[in-house]
Amino acid sequence: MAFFKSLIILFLLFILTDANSASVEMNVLTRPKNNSSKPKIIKVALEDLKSLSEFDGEFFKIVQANSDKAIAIHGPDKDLVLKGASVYYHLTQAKNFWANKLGKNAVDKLKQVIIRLNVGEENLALVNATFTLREPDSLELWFGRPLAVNIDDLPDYRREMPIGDLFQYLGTSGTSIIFSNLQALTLEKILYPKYSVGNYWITGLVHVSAIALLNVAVAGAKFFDRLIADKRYFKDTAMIPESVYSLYSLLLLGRRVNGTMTYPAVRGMMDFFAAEIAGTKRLNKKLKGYTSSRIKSFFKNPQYQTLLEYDSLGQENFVFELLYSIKSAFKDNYFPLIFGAHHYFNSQSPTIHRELLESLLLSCEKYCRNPFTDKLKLYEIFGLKGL
Amino acid sequence: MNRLIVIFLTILFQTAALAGGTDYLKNSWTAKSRYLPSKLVKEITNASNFLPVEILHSTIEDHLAGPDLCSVDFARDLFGKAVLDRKAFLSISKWRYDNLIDDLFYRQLSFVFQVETYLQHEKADASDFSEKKAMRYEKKYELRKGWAKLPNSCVSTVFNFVQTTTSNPWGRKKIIHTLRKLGIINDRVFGSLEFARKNKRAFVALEIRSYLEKLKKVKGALYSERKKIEDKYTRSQDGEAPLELANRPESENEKTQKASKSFFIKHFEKNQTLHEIIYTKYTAEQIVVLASIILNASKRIEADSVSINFDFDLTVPDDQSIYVLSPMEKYRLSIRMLELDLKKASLAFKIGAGNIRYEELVYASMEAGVLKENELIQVLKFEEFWNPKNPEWKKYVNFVLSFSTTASLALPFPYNFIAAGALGLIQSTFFRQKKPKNEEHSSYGIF
Repeated sequence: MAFFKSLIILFLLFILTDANSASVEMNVLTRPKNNSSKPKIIKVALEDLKSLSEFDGEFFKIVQANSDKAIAIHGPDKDLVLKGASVYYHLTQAKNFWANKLGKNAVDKLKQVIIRLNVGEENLALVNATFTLREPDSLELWFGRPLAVNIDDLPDYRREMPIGDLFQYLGTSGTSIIFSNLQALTLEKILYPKYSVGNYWITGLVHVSAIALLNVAVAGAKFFDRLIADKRYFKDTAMIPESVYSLYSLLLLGRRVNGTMTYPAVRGMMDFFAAEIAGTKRLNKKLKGYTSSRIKSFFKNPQYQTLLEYDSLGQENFVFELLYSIKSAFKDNYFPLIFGAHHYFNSQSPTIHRELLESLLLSCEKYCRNPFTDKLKLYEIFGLKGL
Repeated sequence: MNRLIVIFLTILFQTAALAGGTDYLKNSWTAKSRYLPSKLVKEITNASNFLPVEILHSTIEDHLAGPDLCSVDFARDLFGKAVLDRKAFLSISKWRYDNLIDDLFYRQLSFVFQVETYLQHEKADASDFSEKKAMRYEKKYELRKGWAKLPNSCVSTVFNFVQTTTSNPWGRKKIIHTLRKLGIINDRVFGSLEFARKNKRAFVALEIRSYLEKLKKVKGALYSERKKIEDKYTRSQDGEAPLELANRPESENEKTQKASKSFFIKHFEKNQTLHEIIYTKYTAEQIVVLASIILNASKRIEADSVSINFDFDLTVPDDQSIYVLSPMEKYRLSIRMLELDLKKASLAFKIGAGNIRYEELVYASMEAGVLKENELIQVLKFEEFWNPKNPEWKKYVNFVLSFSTTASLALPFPYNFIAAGALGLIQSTFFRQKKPKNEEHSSYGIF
């Protein structure tokens, strides 16, 4: 009996001493670090919680939609609990990363951040948007509802169409060849009727029907793609670790880039930091070939275009690729250079070809080992990227 | 069938020749032993009692104050001997081995020793050259007239005189013999010139005093200008105090120094180093002008803002528009202006120096203090803008292409179709690719 008493006393002592920052073991969805993309559910300890019953921590408070009450840890909705735990865990990861880089004081300056899950109505928007609100008193991260997207609802440029692209290429080149042949036949018929062999009308008909068949095949290939491809995409931004990392970085460094956070130059940089926090090469592997954010295509060489910066097809992936190539060139000194660039986003609408490059060059003056040559190296990288 | 075998063999040999390349040179080279043969290095390591280099410095100071001497007399003064021996030569080699003197000094002094040993064993003879011939060549080249303008009869001045009189190597031989026959030069000068001509030695046509004067004018002449660029990096920024990283990076690393080594490797392979070429080819003023071309280019690249003004009507005030260049446009414009400056300098120097190589420009800027050793490689890359290099794979492709064009004509019926197919395949796959984007302007910019 005395043993149990002492146990209870010890337990009480534990609660009393550690009342402000409790830790709970929970299941979270995360990606293993061995470069594989398949997510796994693992058991981790969530730290800095104020109480053992809610996701209400010293730095983060996770609520559902409009309510002010934190989500219960042992709630009935298991999906919601898993999501809450995952978001909490990944935010802590991002916080620890920045605390390591900038020192603890810089991160602790942020007051409690409120994270809202499942914001908005169901299937309201095609893109599951995430917003960051930053006001003097309250900081908030918003994650939209999980979204099921039908492939038919997507416009052509957002879909992956490997067979369609192949047929498009074959169709255009084949049509031009057949058409030029037909032209030659027609000229022969008109200018040298004596030398033309065979019936012109039948061969002409064959040519025209071949062109028609090719065009039908091109159109048909798009439908064929739908047969192979997945018919529905299920998207839940809150469950993607990298998006959580990216948003936290934006929140932390947002003071300088306030009001410009939707611009690709800024978002691409935050994506780069997300990849750094994740510590894998996965993002870079997946993004190769997508550098201009257009459809992945074997025959098209993706190239930077300024117009696309203001289009619906943002250039975040291009910025990410650009920063990644800087990383591979400046192997052991890349982080301060890229990090330093966010100080210099002074424009209200930063573009890639002007403000991003200028800020990177200015940052190099401060953080590079030998600014004179390192800036020339940067110019070389920009040039090779088509800027 | 025989034809096929022959073709196969030619492919084999040509690919073997291509694969060999210059790699063995790069591997065999080391910074100190390149100019000293391995036998000499062994001799240095075995020998003892070398003269200290301070003697050289004191003799130089004496000669800078006094009259200009020929390099033979300078060497005699240096070692205090009437006949220069092997021991004295070894101490020069030791200085070079320890990097205490530069290659140009070593080349000049070692040439003196080589000529001394040559004259001891062999005697250059001008007796088979008849006086009639001598008179004929004297008339042709007007040697006495040119000779009257020369300041002295040192080997280097005579060498320069011969070089500028004719570019034909046979003509040079005749001039040297004529000068001896007419009694203008003595046996020693004649012997040294013959030695240089026969052994095809790279000879530095520069006297020690004028070299030192050039060094005085060139070394670090533009360093203060370069420092202005560096001072810009430490400017303070306005606005809110930024978030700082906890661990700042260190200032220097070894990797850049390794990269600079390859620049020197490339040029020390050849008979003459860039250092020698620059100081013999250009005057001190010209070297500074060359360096200022690179300085101006780097100033332009480092400019805070570049804009183009369109003044539509000068009589109407404010009738103008301004286009501000983006960073990449500024960079490309600066390099194109560098190319233009280089061409202008080439035209200006043409009478004295011929075409200017871009490497010479880069080396000159290092001498004048515009560039540091570890910055050379990055600046050398500018040349690829107007003079792009052929990549290694393109050499192989070009070879296969040239081969398959002949094969498509020479081979009998079924095989020539294969060759023609290969030709088409190569052209469609490799030559469809565009140039590297760095050379073109961007999709948006004007440069």
